[in-house]
Amino acid sequence: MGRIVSAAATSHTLGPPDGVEARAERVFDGMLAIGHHIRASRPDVLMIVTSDHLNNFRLDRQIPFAVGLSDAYTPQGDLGVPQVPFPGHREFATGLAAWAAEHEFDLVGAEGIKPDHGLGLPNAVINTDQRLPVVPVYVNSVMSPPPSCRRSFRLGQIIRDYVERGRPPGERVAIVGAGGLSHWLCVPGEGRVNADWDRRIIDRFISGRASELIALTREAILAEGGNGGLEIAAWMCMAGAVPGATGTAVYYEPMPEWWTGMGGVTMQIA
Amino acid sequence: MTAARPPLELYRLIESLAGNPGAQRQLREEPEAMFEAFALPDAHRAALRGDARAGLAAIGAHPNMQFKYLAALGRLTLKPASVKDYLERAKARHGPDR
Repeated sequence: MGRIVSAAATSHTLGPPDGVEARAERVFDGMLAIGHHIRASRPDVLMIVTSDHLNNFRLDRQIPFAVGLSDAYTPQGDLGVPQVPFPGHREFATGLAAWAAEHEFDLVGAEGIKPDHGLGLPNAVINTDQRLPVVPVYVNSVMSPPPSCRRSFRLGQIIRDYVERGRPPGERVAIVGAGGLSHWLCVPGEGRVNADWDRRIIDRFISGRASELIALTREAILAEGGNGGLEIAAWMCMAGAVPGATGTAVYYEPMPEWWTGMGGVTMQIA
Repeated sequence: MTAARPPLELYRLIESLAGNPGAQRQLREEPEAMFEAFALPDAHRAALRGDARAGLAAIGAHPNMQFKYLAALGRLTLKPASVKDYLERAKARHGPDR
């Protein structure tokens, strides 16, 4: 059996440091600390759960949950993510899609993904030498209807089951949920940040009560976290993979200059 | 239950802009030709001729599609950032291990 050896969640964007240098530095140092935490667990496989921003998945054929199957990936380069290729893990990813299907969860296999910043940014700060095989899991919160926190949490449970019962002995797996906290993008309230909501979300994760968030409806998230806040579904997938785990708030900064709350946590794995 | 038809023609126009500086330039310089090429309905063309931000909202375009359209026009108020710059500054501050 395999084992989940580390888990974390983080925002997956950045804004320019101009005028907010100290806060920007704290945010990026937090991201780097999460990367260090993941690398220190010596994973064989890095799962990054994130959302695409209509760059690989389209509104013509809306796919809420998908796993990247490819042998390698090259970032699209948006947000200045270095376009350095990194390996995928076809055998792990294909097996996960099959395992999910056997456990009543449809996870679409996707070839030819060219990751945007949703995956490219966390990969750049975690997988610093670009040698660790990455399995992208897409929880596409921009689809309509978006993937719910409940379904995403369930996918995390299936991932854990797959790692523990479907993977080779000794395999070490890290999982990172990458998505934004509160932000309003191209909707009324654009630029708003709800720091209270962000802190409540983070508190649920670090106190081992993330499962309580499965009750969050789309409407509730839109009201308090904005349309960008739907991306916490990626965090929920990570939480489902490490149920009951407590954690540490690594960083949090409300960044209205960047139109978003920025935060990240690491989880304690027993 | 009925659902509003999404602005599919506009979405296809916006999708054509990705990684295509020529198409982005054409949208800025010859928007009517782009509207025609993608068969945008007259009401959508009219909405986009004035304040694009208001027009996109009036059309009910998906927020991420609005973002891409405004970016192509160079009308985003959110300033761009570069992860690469952050990585280089961090290397200078912390060394290569961080």
